[in-house]
Amino acid sequence: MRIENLCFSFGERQVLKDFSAESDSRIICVMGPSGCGKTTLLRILAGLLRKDSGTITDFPESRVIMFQDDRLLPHLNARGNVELVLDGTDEENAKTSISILRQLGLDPEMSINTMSGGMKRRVALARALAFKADALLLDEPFKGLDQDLMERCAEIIRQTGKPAVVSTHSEAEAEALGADIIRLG
Amino acid sequence: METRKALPKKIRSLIAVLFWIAVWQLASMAVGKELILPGPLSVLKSLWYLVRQGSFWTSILLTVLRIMLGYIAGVVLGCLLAVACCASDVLNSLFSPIIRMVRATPVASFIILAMLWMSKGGVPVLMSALIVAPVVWGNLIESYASRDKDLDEMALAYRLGRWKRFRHVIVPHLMPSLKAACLTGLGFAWKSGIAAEVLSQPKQAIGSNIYYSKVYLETPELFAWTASVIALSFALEIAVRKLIARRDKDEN
Repeated sequence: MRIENLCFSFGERQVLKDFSAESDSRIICVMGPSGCGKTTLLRILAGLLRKDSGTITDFPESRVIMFQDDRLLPHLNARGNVELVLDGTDEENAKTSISILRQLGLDPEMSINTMSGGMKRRVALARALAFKADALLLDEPFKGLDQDLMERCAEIIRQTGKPAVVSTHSEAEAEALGADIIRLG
Repeated sequence: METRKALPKKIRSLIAVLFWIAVWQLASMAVGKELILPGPLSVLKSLWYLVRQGSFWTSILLTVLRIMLGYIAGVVLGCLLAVACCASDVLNSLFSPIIRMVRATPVASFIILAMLWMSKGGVPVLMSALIVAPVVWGNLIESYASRDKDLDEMALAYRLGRWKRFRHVIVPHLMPSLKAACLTGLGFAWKSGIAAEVLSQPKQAIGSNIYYSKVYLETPELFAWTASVIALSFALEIAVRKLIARRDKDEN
């Protein structure tokens, strides 16, 4: 992925100023202090924010974002939240969602309302992984997970074989993902 | 330490009802004129007389039918208008002023106008619908405006179609407001429907009988009819609450 002279402002406040980075790694971790623009960069890559200027190249166009907050629908169970974003037949969707949720150590039928923070995080990750996109944008995907779960999730992300940009505060997470690190701020 | 045990809620409610019936009896005795304020016993006697008449039950049935028809039409209309206003700014600009105007117009003005436009039996139906629709519309519009915008963004990021977004993101958010509007609207539908019957006097209607009781100075009967309206309103509210609760249970 190559980012050149990326600029973005929220009104008067410039969040990204001539930011450039380049990496050949399939998985890239974006690191930096809070408020440095990691989430903004991911949202620009997801097409949810329009950059002021700059170019992003060598990265698949079809991307999916896992938000920093879970954004799950509480009236659906884990499976329902994943299947909601799938376009296949009911049978195919059920198979995909159950498989990915079980890989992440979750009960597919469990209600969102009875889940811990870490469980919800994994449902949100499952939803992003199951969605048909060529690249992943993951905003602090391991928030609230213990070391073992984090490593298990990182392994599953690696196994997808999809290019990914991951925002994190932790070097250990970057290492578990086998990612290149880009520093912001 | 000795603790005083609170009375069960049902007993407390019964004591409160008995207290107010006693107050009513005392007030009636103080006034001393049945025509002005009949006592609970004479109202009960009138009610007992009425319930043994076939026409009482016909009036009850037809009034319930008229008001419930208007109520259901009002809920459906309110929902449709809310969907239209939320889906399109143009439709919102078109419908909002007229709905707000309907909401602000006194019921009596509408009743008089409706009496010129339609049959007597149709007036309570129209009034109930006209009162309920803006309540449902207003609740839904406000609820839609206060929805979680993050979920909208999630729907956009995951390219959810319009139907999926409506069914899974918007509707679950609107349901509590719709339920509240349905319960509030039921009370309004009753009040406006009975008022419309009093003024338009269709055949076989509670409102018409209230009017005739007033004309013939049958105050205990007027109270008896009013008591029937209150009892019916409570019964229907309980029925709607149970219907909503059963729906919630089925969904979970």
